[in-house]
Amino acid sequence: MNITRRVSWVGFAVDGALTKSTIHFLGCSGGVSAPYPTQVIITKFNNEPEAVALEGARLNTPDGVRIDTAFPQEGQAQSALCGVAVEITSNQAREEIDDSQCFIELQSRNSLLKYRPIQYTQPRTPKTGILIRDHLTVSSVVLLNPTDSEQASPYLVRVGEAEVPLFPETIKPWGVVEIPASDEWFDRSSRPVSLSGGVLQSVVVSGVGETPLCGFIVYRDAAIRRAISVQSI
Amino acid sequence: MIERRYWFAAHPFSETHLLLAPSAHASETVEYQLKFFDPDGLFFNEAHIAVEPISIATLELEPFLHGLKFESGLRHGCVTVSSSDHGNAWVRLASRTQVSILSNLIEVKSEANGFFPLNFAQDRKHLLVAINSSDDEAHIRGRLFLRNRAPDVPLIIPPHGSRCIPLESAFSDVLSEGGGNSYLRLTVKQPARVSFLIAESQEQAGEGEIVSVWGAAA
Repeated sequence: MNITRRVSWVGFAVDGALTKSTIHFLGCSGGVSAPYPTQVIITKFNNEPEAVALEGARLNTPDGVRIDTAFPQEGQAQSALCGVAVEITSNQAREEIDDSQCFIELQSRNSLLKYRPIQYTQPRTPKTGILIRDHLTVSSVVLLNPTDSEQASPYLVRVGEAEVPLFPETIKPWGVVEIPASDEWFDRSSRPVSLSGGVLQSVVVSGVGETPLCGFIVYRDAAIRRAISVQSI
Repeated sequence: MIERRYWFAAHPFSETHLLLAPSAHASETVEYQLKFFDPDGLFFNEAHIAVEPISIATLELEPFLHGLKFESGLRHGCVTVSSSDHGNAWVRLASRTQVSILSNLIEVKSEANGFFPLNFAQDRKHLLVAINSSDDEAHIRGRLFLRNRAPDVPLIIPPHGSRCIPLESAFSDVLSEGGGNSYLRLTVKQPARVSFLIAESQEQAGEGEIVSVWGAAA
């Protein structure tokens, strides 16, 4: 009897005129070295989900696909920012395939950013993250709702001794929102630390309870707003 | 006691900071113990830091790194952060024009794979950072999938040590025929716990070199 194993990730991508995204994945199982076939399903979403199944992927063989290749019929999106869910299924592996890995790459002129999306189980326990403001960096938070129902954000920002909601509204099914870090959060809570080129301020973001949402802190170049580093929360 | 491990580099990064944030549940001052290890896995410094609840401590690491040796042209190593609190820590690596934020390292289990998508081009250079958290020497096989070639190289990392491996040199034979999009697969042999990062530098017109470090925990 074949055993079906599945692993999934959720992350964000950008599919616009200036920035393209590629999803890279490696399905692997610790005890299996043969390149058994795997099924890969990629779902792109921004209020509406759209899924494609990729053919030809194999265990232990790295592979990847550009978003605009996987979704060639896509019209001009309202926003270039979108959510992406990636699922690898193997019906041959005799062991778990949760050692499998995934990266999302955002490509724009003179910039390449690669980060690991969240390996997804529903619900998940949110992680703590840190928002940073300095002479090189600004921060924002991207929240993704990879479900069919509206969801409230569990994330709180520690502002002084108080905790304020990061995003007080609910997030639509398959919704994607980006929340820029507020200057007020830094001004009210953070002791500036001197750097050679300016000062650094930081604020903690943490989650309460469990949530089906996925969150990422995106650090951007302060001058041209190019994304330079990503942390999941 | 909760212990987390972080990689840091002092060069070519102009400033390296460790940010410590006690958990939201902490009601008293949280004591952190920092232990610094050089690339050969040798302990060379330690520090004790007390952080008030509802605050973030930002430490410049350079004052703790006297005597840290160079390896592959970089001064780099690992710091373990121990405390009884479930708080968090991050390393901020700032080059002249770009910042990378790193969380704690994730370990690839023995007989499992590390995996990185890489873009080899004339204006880019890649360092594979391999960190061995175990008491034994780690034996790793790195295989590069580029066009229809898949050469491999063996790597050995000392116990509790770290190594920066210039990938353009390690795979010079295949890269001499041209670059392009590729994948690096790293297989850890024997019972070792190893973490991997990529330090990628790129020459940019008018901006000089930017350095990005990626691949840490999701």
